[in-house]
Amino acid sequence: MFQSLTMRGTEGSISWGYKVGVALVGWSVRKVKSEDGPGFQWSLTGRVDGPVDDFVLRQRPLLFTAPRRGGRWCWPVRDLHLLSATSVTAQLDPPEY
Amino acid sequence: MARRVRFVTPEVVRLPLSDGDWIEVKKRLSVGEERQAFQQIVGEIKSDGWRRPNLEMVGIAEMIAYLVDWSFRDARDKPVRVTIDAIRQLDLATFRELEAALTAHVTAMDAAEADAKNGQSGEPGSATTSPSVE
Repeated sequence: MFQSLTMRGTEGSISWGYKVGVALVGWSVRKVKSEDGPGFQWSLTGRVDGPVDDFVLRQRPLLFTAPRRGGRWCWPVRDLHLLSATSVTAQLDPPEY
Repeated sequence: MARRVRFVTPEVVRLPLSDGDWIEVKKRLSVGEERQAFQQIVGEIKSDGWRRPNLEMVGIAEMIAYLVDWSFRDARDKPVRVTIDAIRQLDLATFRELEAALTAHVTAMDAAEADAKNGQSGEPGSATTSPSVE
């Protein structure tokens, strides 16, 4: 139905299990139709809030989670890029439910 | 022989409590988490080195270091996140139950680690002595 979709939030984190690698304040997740075939591509852009745990962010698997009514959004992180001390992007896999 | 991994992986263990409740705790603490818990217990340090412990955090610091999640809900049946403030609001019986569960967990993990080390070394529990030459 939708070719693209953008979700935004004010609180989220990228974690390895229960270990938070980076907390995000102000994030957006964009879902666009894949150019390479069927399905969709998911990407994250976020603003870093506080310290970054380099060790945790080098581990796999990483999950991006954000609170929502009744629970949390959860996307597996495929590729992570710390653009600067305050900005992060990532390619995500489809959300887990 | 598989290479030993010297870093703590974020594994959790679910511990059952009374009345169908449960807590999820870290299987092991990393050295950073352990030091952070200890730091919260150490209160004022005077110039002569005398330390006044932070009694308010004794017991709570270790609990917050280990606790990842729980099944507890508030009076409006809403889930409550694990935070120091939430732990402080627990009734005494529940806090003691959590303490007992956590102590049993830590004891079990220490025993499992000791067993694993003994198994790795392949040595018996007591050292053999060489017969004396006569």
